[in-house]
This record gives sequence, C-alpha cells and structure tokens, in this order.
Amino acid sequence: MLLIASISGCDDSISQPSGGASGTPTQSDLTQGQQIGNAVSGTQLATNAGGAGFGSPQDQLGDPSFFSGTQVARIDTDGDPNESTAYDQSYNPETSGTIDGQPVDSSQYAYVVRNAAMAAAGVQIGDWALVTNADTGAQVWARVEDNGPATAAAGEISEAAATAVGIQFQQNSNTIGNPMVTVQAFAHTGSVPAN
Amino acid sequence: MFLIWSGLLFIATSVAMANGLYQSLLAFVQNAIPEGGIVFCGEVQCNETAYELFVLQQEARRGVLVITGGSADPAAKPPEVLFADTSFDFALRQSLIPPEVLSQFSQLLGITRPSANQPTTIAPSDDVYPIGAVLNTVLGPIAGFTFRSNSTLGILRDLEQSNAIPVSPAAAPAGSILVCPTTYSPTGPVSLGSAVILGSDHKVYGLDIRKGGAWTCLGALETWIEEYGAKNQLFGFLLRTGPGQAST
Repeated sequence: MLLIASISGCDDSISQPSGGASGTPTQSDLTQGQQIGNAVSGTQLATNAGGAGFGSPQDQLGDPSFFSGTQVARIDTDGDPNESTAYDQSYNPETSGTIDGQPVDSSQYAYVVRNAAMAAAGVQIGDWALVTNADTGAQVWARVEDNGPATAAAGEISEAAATAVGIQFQQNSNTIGNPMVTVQAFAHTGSVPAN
Repeated sequence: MFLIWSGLLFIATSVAMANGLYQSLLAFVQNAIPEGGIVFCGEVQCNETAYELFVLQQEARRGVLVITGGSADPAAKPPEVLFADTSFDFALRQSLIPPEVLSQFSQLLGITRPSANQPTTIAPSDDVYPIGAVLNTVLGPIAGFTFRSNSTLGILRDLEQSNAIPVSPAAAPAGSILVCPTTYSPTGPVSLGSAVILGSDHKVYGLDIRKGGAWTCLGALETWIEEYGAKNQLFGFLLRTGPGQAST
C-alpha cells in the first residue's frame, strides 16, 4: 500500500518521473518517435492520399439504391501508382473504372468498391456513392470505380475516401483501429456531373 | 453478476441485496466510484478474508477493483479498496493480493490463459483492458520495446525501469508514451488511469473499450492533459533507439 500511497498522493501537476533515464533525446530518438507517431496517427500516409477527387454531385440524387449498413472500413489501394504488392498483397494497379483511360488512383480519388449486393441493386461503375464515417459522421461523395470479390462485404473504400472521412491507415492497407463506415450507392447516376 | 450505474440506486440496491452484496458495501462502492459503470463479479474467501471483485468502466477505460471488509456484520472492519487498475498484473507483482485469489478472479472474468496468476514477460492480449498489449503492437516492431504489464501502474514502472527519456507531457515529441497511473485510496475515490501514444498529428491514441478494444484516437493532447491532469499526475517518456531498452 505504500507504493499506491506514493502515487495517489500526488497533486495535479504535470511532472517528470523520478525513474527512467535522463538526458536529451538524440535526433535518432526523435526520428524513431516520429515513426511511432506516424504509425498511430497515419500521418505518413495521409500526406499521400490527396483530395477526394470527384467532388460532389451537381443534382439531387434521390433515395439510394443500396445501403450497406454499418461495416468495418477496408482500404482498397488499387490504382495508386505508389503502392505495390510488397506493401499490400491485394494491390492491383488496374481498377474497373478509368479516368481518361487510366486506372483510378486510390490515393487521389474517393471511390468505393462494388460488391455483389451493390451490383444486384443496379449500381454500376461510375455511379455516385456517399461514404460516411459511422464513428464521427464525416462524409465524402465518391464514385463506384472498382469491383470486389463476389462475396465481399460492402465498406471497401479508396485511400482518398478514407482520408476524407478521417480514417487512418497504413501502407499495407490496414486501418488504424476498426473504423466503421456506411456506404450508400445511387444507381444510374454516373452521368450526373460534379460541382 | 449485476450492474450498478449511478442514477439507478434503487434498482441496483434491490439487485445487489438479491445477490448477497451487503448494503454497507454497496454504499461504499457507490461512494468510492462516483463516475462510470460498476459490475460486481463475485467474492472469494481466503484466510478468513473476503475479497470482492468489481469491474469498472470509465469512458474509454476498463479496470478491476478489489475491496475487502465487505462484511454484513456492522461491528466488523469497514470495507476498503485494496487494489484498482486496468489489470491485476501489478497487484500480482507487488503481492497485494494472494495469487490463489487472483487465480479465482481470473476465472470469474473469463481469463483462461494458464499464466493468469503468474507474472508475464509480455503484456497478454487476454486481459481486462489490454492496453500494454495494444501499445506493444506499435512499439515492438518499431522500437523493439515491449511492456510486461497491462496495468497503468505496471506500465509506468516498466518505463521507469527502462532507459526511456522522461519528457514533459505538455511538450512531448511525437511518439512519446504518456501515462496517467490509476489512483485510489482505501476509502476511494478510484480513478482509472490511461496510457497513450502521442501521434504525429498532436493527438493521443490508445485503447477504447467502447469500440471493442480498438486502437482509437482519444482526442487532442491538450484535451487529454486537461482531463487527466486535473485529477492525477501525468508522466511522459520517449523511447531511445538502440538495444537495451526493452523491458523484458
């Protein structure tokens, strides 16, 4: 009980402990700390993600054709020229959708991956979708630009979409924590222009 | 097992009495833990002493509370807090609670690992609030540092015994480990502590039991300091590079 008393008897000051090593951090220590800080906050990768890319739809889209319910967010890195299978084993440089004949860069464009349920609801590549961070309410407009495995759950989104709604991730596409998202998709809206 | 929430005194009392928890102990617990949720998990008798186990949840944290002296006899020794923290492991290392009692407590909590009543070399992920194990997932690969403990008091001890550099939490560089150790006194109050890592975005990250134990952003550093520093002492450490820093 003596130990507890010595701790619980402290005042409300912010202090340095009596134990541990003393001294000033070296540049190496600070660099390592930065690595740790990047790992938990995802800052390192957020700088690569860029903006949401597609903007938002110019017209009202009406009711969504598909609603995913709350899903664990997963990151699709396809189309990101800075990614590779060395980091993300499921990486594919190509995407189902294209922009000017080029794959849709996951780090630059907010997109969602279409699964079988979305396809069954009539959602097509290029249609608009709305991604919502279920924990914070943050939202971003996206387009459906890639196809996932037939059995995949909804909730797979691009790096740019994740960043736009405050979801952090690592280069291997793993998210920090288990962030939850919802995806609403709007069939036959691919021709609706962006603002 | 029953749940006590502040504001549900009548219901809690009725249920508590039905479960054999004495009125004096119930009043003591509610007074000692004014905030958060409290779950009574059971009683273990050892050497003519009764040890009452509770699980606490205060915002993102979860922890254990052990009380002795909760007798129905008004003339008996009054209840007092024997231990509280985010894990039993510090009580085990400090011999605050008999190992056979901790073993039975672990069974009550569904902790099935064989070493539940023995000190571990690496903080196990199977625990009440495995904050040390979660911090290890980041610190181990990058810095080669691993905590032995899931208890905030044990985490602080691990850092103090390492060659980590003490830093002021308010001026801590990115990647620093910030610790607010659990505080309690024999008559309460009990305030569960916290251990977090400062991210590069100047926010603190840790374990949120409300999100299934996920690695979670817990807000801005200043907010964390304001919340925890108002009641407890705060500590900061930056791990050194190079060998010889692991606590194991």
